[in-house]
Amino acid sequence: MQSIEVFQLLWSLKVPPSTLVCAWRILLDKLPTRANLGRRGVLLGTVCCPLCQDGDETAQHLISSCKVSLRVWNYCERWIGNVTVRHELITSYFQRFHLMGHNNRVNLVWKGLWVAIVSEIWSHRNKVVFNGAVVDAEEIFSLAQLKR
Amino acid sequence: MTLWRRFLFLIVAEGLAGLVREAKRVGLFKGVEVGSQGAQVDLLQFANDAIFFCEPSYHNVLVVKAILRSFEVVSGLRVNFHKSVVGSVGLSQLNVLVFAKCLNCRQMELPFKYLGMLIGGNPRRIEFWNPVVDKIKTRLSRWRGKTLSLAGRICLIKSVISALPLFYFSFFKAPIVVRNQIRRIQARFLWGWGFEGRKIAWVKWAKVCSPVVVGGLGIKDIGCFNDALLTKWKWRFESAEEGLWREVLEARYGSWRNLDITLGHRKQSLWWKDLCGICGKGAKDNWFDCRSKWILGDGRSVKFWDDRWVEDIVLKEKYPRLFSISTCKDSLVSDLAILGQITSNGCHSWNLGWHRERFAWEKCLEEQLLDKISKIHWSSEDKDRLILVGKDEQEYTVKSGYSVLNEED
Repeated sequence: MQSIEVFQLLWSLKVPPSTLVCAWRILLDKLPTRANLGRRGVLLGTVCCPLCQDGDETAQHLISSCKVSLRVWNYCERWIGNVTVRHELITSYFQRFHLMGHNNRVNLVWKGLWVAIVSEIWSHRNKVVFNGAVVDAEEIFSLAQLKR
Repeated sequence: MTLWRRFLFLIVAEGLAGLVREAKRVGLFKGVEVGSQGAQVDLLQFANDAIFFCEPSYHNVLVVKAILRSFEVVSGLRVNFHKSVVGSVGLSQLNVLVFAKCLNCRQMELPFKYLGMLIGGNPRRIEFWNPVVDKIKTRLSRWRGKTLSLAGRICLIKSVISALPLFYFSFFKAPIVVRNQIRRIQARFLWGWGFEGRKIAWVKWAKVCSPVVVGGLGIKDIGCFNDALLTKWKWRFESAEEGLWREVLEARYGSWRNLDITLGHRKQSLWWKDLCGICGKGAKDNWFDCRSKWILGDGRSVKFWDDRWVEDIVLKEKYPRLFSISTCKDSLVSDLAILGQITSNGCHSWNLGWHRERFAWEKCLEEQLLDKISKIHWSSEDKDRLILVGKDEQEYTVKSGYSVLNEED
């Protein structure tokens, strides 16, 4: 039941569709992360996370427990000026990402920010893997801010 | 200006219809009769096409020629004999050749195309669907899947690939092979068409086709949509829509109720059989009947025992005992209600015929039944309406039918 609300929320956001689709795949854990590729028998040397080299790269890890993404979320919280609750589960993290005491419309904007950050983390991860970019949490966040 | 011209065209076309009508009245021309009750089909006109139907006799052909000629003279329009064709059903080639010579036009080959639809082909054959599938393929090859994002490809699938075969789907049932073929094309395009090698389909197709709220992408599943579109025919047949198509179908197959009864009869057309399989008794779980319900109007098209009009139940199934002793098993609601006679609590009184006196416990059942049906309010001014039971009770639309079918799968 919970997941129904999640997707209703997701698609009601006013965010570019390509970003939305990326967030949709993350929520379903259907991105070609290394863990996912490994499960499907695609030959890779390693399944560890390309951003922090620590732990398997699952969607969950990438978004909520990787060191780099944690830094991104920290930047984000400093920017908003509010500490939100971290959730291990991506879907509930997405659902809880709002400010107390604000109405729904304001919160929709914050949810949009969440989607932007998440998709930016993913595209940065791709840059790191394929173009050999340097891991940089600050860059991720500022790009996400721009998208918003 | 163009509107005016179109209006002029209508007036002129009506002239042709008038000529045919007059010829029929005088007895010179005989149209084709369909079925035993005899729905007459003589002339079909749509846009700038006209089709004459007539009994196969040399006399009729001569009359058609005369009508066309006099129409030419009167209207100043010309018949393009190079584009006109004559064809026959169940007649020898020689006869058709004679007719063609007389009318000075070519012989028709089956299947032919009318209004963009192949007529006379067999929709259960895969070759029949080749043009549809090819159309999708050529459209795809022109797009560069590479340059589009996943979101862009989803949008193209929703708006173009799913829509391309709709016209055919609204009339013919596609075989499973064809449905899968189209699904495969859609899936391959979604996950990266135009790239080298095979791509991983990250989300299974059924999930992709599920509605957005449960985590899918809301892409229409071709198979369900095909069924939903065809079910619209049944609904249109049941509701009081009028037209030549209805007369022809009624003459050929009797009422729409026969969809449920005469399954797989030898004389039925493939189209009718397919319709039976989709929304008649032959359908999976008989989904349409289970999900639809009558709102009573005058009660003239609802059967008392057989149809679903009291709450969500069929009276025959709820009260089998009473049904077995009823004398009017086939009656309509309007036959059993005593019109004009309203009981004290503002309801109709009923005249349910029984074979014999009821036992005491049957009396009890009868009271229950009467209590149930007395709660239903209806006025004899409106017509009966068939609705789809669901979130918002409404008439059947392809959209609502699709969502029902998609949920069940």
